[in-house]
Amino acid sequence: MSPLMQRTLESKSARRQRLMALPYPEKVRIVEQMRAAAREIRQAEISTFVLREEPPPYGGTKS
Amino acid sequence: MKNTLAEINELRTAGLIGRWAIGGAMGATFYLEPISTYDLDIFVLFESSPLILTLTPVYDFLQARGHAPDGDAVMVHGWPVQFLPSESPLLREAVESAREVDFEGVPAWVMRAEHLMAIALQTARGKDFARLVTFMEARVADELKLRDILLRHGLNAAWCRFEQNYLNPS
Repeated sequence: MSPLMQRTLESKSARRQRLMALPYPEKVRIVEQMRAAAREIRQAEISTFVLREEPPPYGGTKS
Repeated sequence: MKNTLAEINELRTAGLIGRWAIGGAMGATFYLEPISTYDLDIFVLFESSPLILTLTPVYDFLQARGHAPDGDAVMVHGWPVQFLPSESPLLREAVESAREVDFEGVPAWVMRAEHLMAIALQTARGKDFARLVTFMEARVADELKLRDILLRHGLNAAWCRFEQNYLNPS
């Protein structure tokens, strides 16, 4: 493993430890923020215009 | 969530539920890093065991206080709360031995790590196994207590499979 990857993994592990050590109400606030973000993403998905093309007529008969 | 928990305590004061405890992802969040979840799983005991268990009185009480149903949950102060009757011996024990926590002045109960792990093992969805791995990595559970719970609730074989598949896969 490269030193860079090693440092990255250690840093991630330290961050997880810090999050675990937070008081419960603080963790709940983070979950609430994640829920709000998830709601926004869902709303964006609903309102996004998606162009739906007809399937290509390869091998089919043209009308 | 403080107000949500206060409302659940009101249900108990009104005699509609007995002891209760937070389980699921929000229970695990007490011990681990915050876990993204949609709802709040509240496991409840009922003081008297009615012949036909129904949560209608709970929903009616909350609705009268302005909390609307939201699918199979009730939206209480911004949190979809799912009430789950603790009917199995494992769930009952998990609620009875839950730890009391002070949530910004509101008393609440959270299942112990060992019970959350046993319940995840029993539920056995992909996300439950992922959570179990996180619990093991975090070393927050008392291994002797966990082994005792697994043994008493017939989960030893499932635990061996979990260990083999996720902890010692080679």
